[in-house]
Amino acid sequence: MEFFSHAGMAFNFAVDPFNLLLCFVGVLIGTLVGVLPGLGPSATISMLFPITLNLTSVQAIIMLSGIYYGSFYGGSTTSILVNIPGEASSIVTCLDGYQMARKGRAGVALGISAFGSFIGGTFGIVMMMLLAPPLAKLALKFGPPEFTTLALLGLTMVTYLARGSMVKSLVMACVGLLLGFIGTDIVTGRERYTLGIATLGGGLDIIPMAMGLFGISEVLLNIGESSATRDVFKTVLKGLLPTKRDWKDSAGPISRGSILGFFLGLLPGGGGMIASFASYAMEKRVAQHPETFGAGDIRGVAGPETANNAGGQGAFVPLLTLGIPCNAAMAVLMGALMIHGVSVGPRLMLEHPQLFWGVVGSMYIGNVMLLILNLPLIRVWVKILKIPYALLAPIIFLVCLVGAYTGGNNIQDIYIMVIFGIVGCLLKKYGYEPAPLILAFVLGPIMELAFRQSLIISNGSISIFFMRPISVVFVTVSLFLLLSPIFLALSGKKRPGLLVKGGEDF
Amino acid sequence: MRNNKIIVALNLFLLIGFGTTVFSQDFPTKPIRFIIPYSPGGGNDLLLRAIQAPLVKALGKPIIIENVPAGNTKVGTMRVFEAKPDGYTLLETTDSTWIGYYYSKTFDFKLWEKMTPIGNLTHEPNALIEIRADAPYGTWGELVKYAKEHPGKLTCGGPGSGGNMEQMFNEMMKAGGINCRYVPFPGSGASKTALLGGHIDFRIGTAPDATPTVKAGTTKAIAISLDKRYELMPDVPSFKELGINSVYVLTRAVWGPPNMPQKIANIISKAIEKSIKDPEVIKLVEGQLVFKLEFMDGPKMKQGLDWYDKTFGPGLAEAYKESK
Repeated sequence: MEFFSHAGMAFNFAVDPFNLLLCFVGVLIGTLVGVLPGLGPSATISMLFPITLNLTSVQAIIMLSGIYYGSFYGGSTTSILVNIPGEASSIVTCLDGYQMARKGRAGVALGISAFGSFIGGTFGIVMMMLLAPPLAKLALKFGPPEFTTLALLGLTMVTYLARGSMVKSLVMACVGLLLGFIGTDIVTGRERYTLGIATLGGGLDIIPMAMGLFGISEVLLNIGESSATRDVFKTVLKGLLPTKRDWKDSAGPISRGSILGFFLGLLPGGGGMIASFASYAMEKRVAQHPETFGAGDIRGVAGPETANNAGGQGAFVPLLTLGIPCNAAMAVLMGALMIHGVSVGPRLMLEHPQLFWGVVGSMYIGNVMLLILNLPLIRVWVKILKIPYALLAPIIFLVCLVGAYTGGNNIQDIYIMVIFGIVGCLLKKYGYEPAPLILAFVLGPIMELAFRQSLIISNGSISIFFMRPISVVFVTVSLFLLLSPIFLALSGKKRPGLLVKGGEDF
Repeated sequence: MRNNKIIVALNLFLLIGFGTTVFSQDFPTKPIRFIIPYSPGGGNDLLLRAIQAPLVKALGKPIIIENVPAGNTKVGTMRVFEAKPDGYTLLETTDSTWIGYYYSKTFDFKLWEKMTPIGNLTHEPNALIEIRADAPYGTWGELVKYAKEHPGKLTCGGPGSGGNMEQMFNEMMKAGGINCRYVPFPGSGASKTALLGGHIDFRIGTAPDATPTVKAGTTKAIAISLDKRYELMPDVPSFKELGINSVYVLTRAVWGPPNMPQKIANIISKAIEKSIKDPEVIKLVEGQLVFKLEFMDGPKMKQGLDWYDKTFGPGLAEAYKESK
């Protein structure tokens, strides 16, 4: 069997002691980069790749890719503990992860993240091993019309990201769409809504935005409350690892998250972030009792944290089989490989089988290392919550300031973060939740551009969305999701997902 | 700042690794910061990191590479423009991109006339035309013929509209006497996927992003935006051969803030010249990144830019006016 000989080659290479060490260094750095808000894997990989020039190409890629997938493990840590997304792919983990921490279940949330990450990552590697070339062909089927309708489907799920009033979450989604317009419109080459501010010429960066809306706003809110009413982190920590019941709840989200995340990761622009949002929305949609989402439901952590790792793995498929980097970190990895003299492209697997299989083998081992590394760390992380809030608040603020700067080496990102922090604090006070805003901000520009590209291709005919099978499926599902509540309401039944909580609605 | 500390630490590590000696001179006495107004992993980033080790060796001090992509290169570029001209803050960028900004009114004065030119690193064709290997046409001539037989059918993908890309596409269409639709994409990965997936018929790409699939035989480069063949891709016909009346060259170079002392500029310039003549660097940059290394000192760079401005300025001004 060819498969087993390849798998043998993968492990033979990866268990070399020096390669193991490099893999460990990579995943360790990756975990730390993930924990630190702002600093992302792509910047770290590009900083570190010159020191890998003395290694062989396989060794270099083992270490550098370790940084990439390691960051998905670390990213959830700050989301859960202090409501600050460590990476863009962990934004959605703030919703339930932080609420779990407030209920004394930080350890469980971190634990299920680590296990979910491990399962999602491993699933991604197995799929990559077995099916990389046909999967890459599948990804190519996605052109502008498919992206338009996929983004449409995503936008129909926007209300699933909020707990409270549906009207308020739709308002937030509209604000997100508007914010997404800021920047240079690539179809006309003109700047839109930049107010002559240089930084806005490239659009708002999601990292400082999300750090402000989630993290800074939370700190401000907590400071605003009197210490007597503030319940943050006061609760005794209940258990550090997921219980049997937690596992039962998480099994579905983890398996669905693995599959969904991996497929979304294959697409250009894919990777962890969109996968995590999609998984959250899907879990809330299929849940029997969706009303506990947003209040510390473990399913809202397990699904997205699995999906972002599976998606992160999926992103390797177009890179290694087609030579197309589908996100920033992959672009840096591709550059590093080129500098090492490896031509990344359709013939990589044939010309450098030891590279492809060596990397695959190291990823298996790297994921095991990450699990072993992250589980004991939970004990350390939850101790942070014992720091008095009067001390913790300024530390969080400082880490955010540094993080916002390191993301793009741009002081204006700090202003953006602080502004969104203040705005986010006011929004939360009045019951407007930031998650729909973030999702619309991410999907709006994708949909707008893909829609315009589709119409250029079809010469202005809207029928292009109804002529292509994948696109038709997305349109049908979107319509079903949009219309089904109306039919249910007409037939006298109410669907719990859209129930409005009393007192919060207009 | 933590970021910088990490970089300094790493560079110190590099320094030890390469066993450099520190020269006894006034400049440099501390690490030099290179600002790249593009994201990590882009051409400028890879290029500078490829020459980092020999450059550190030649300068005798570590260098700090800082990616500042905000505001479509404007934030990073302006930071160097406003920096102290002491030689410790430099810009590494693609000249034509930010020169084009004058004509798009992003800057209201000719920034490059005030900056201190230090050393040119590379030149390369701005663009090439790439098709799928299984397309019903295999050359520019055949593509033109096919487009004439199937009017209004072909679409071309490429980078965002506006400026010299749009100007180039229009001239391609004029030269062929054909009419295709231009579909802009955010970044080369996206247009490449669309080409391979058959969603567009051909694309405007660059030498580095076309090379992986061209080498593998799944795509083909059929024209390159130069007046003669490109040394590193000699099989691809030039625009001039094909009668497309335009030449577009990209140069990547190092600049200092306005009014930098000539003595300091010369020290950096010499170090750059030395490092891009390193055989390892040549192998990496020309073989892998497909950029042609070509050193030019400050005065030569200035001449080149004046030529660029005179030749393309009017056309650029026109292109930006039209797209408004």
